[in-house]
Amino acid sequence: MSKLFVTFGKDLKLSINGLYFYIEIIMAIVFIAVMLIAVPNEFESNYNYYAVIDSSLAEINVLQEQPENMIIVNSREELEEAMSNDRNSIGVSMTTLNNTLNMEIILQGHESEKLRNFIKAEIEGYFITQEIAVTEHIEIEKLQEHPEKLSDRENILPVYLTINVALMGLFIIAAYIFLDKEEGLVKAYAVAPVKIWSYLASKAMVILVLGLFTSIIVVFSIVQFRVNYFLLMLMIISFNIFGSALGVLITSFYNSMIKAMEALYAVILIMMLGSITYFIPSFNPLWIRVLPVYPMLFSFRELLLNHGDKGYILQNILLFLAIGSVLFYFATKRFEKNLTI
Amino acid sequence: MRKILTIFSRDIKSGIRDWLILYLIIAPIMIAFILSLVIPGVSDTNLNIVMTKQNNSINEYLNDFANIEYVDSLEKINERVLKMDDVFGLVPSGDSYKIIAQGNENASMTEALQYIIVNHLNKETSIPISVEISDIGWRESPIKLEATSILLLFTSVFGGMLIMLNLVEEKMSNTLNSINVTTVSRLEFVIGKSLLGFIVPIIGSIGAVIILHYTQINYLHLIVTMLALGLTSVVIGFAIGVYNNEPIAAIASMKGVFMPLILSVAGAMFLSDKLQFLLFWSPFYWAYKNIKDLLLYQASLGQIMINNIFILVISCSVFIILRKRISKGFN
Repeated sequence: MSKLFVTFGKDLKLSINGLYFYIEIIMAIVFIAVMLIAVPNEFESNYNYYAVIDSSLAEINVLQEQPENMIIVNSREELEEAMSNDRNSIGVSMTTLNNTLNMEIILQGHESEKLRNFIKAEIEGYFITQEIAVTEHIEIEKLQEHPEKLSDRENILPVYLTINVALMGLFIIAAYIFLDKEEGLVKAYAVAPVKIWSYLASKAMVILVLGLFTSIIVVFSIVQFRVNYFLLMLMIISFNIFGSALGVLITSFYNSMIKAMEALYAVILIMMLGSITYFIPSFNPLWIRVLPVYPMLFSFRELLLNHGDKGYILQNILLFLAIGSVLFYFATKRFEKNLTI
Repeated sequence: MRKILTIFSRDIKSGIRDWLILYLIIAPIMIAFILSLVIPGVSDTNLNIVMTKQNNSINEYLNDFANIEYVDSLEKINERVLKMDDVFGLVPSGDSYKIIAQGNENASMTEALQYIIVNHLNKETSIPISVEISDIGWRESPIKLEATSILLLFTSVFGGMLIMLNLVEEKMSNTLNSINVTTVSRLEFVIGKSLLGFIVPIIGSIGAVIILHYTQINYLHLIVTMLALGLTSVVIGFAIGVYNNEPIAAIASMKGVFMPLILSVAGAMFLSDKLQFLLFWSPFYWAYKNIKDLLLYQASLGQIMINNIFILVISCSVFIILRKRISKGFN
């Protein structure tokens, strides 16, 4: 164990002398500046509605109040053209047919049958409630009295933390290993009384120290004292171990840095798909929920909430520590065989 | 010209020897293949309900609109509702139903569920309006569109990363110094080195759009956009690669490229039109706009060119600012 700390001390000193350390810190400062200066606290929706209203309905005020993002057009052709140029939009056409009001909802075309049924049933249900006052029968029980939501700006923070802590480590550790291979350092390790695991762990620890440092300054700059920093540190340690172990394991399959980078790049891109569900929680297919990034993002979100679910956070800390350790064990086994090749 | 081609062919040769180039071209195509498997082709309903099996027709009714999970007790319903994603619980309450929500769900979704249940309970009530649903025939899923746009942007950035890593390797093995004493001029060397960073992303991106079924895309416009964006990536690749003689700092610097890329895409998606100007500095923003228009088949040559000019002007300005730094790095 003491050898691990000696190796770690040397690695840390070397990285403080290199550029890597400073680049990471500058990146963190740039991120803070962008978040505080350029990112608004709340985003606005970019969704537009196009409506065409039959001239026979001009007398009746069909739209009691026109929403801000609703654009009235003059004809069906104009509506279709506007919708073709703006794929983030829905159309509505109001006509009369045999003295009945006809409302046609015009979608883009990529919507599933279920989604179409849903929109139709929702609108019909709305008109039923206007006919007979029934909404009060549908009681809503809220399990949380004061559910919290992060501001849109704060909501970006978990994505940054996940990339910073778990994903970038994959690249850096691979770069470390190839650098040492190139410079022949690895061969020196083979004859030195240092175990492979402590060589790899020491590299992971350097990345961890930087991850801790940069994440804490970013979180502090944006939410100050609102979070439990002890838990934040535990999360960073656990997710970082997982990321580094995964990086080491993937690297062990490649003999060139560029090839390894490409594989790591693909893994990172696929993992980042987990952020789709993070931003749209109702889009929750199973294949996204099993990506490791998914629980990481939500754990960071819970940490930022005042009354976040600490049990969930702790459970994920333990989970990633366990998976990280298993991955690290296999990576070490593989490297024992082929690191010096 | 001959010297440029010699450098280019040397990179190709060494790349092919260890399968690297093939591998780099195949990677975005493989990712595209995985995306085409996992991303649903249609936009599905976002209404998720957890409930117990009922004897009446409500299960069947809701099945037409929502994704339903069945559990066997109220505790399990509550437990599921409290999980991180948005799922509503539904339990019978007298002759009606009660919705169990966590409380942080989208308000319009909660209302929609109420209306749908009201609709079911009051089937006999006639309303003064008939509702129908139609579409204008656009079958491309928006999630697939965004994922493809991001994949193409990253494919191009990878071209820059390739140049950067190539240069770092040259620096590590000290071959860059040897180049300085040959008859190859610095410009020839730069162009020769850059070609791979332009060509690999173009082939990769064409493969990716075909795999993701955007076969009607205007390939010429796509190539022009990838070339313009390629210049950004190449400038970044050189600026980072030539200055760093070890890969760790170089890769850490790449984070400085990912961050504006991710911010530009997220900003273009989520910022309102009047705030989009905040992103005008970013070549990735203009490239994202181009790629999205191309995938939506609504790109006009004029618009593509204007956006590309923005990308070129920004990349050239960055190059001019970093010119001294890059040329210093060669020595």
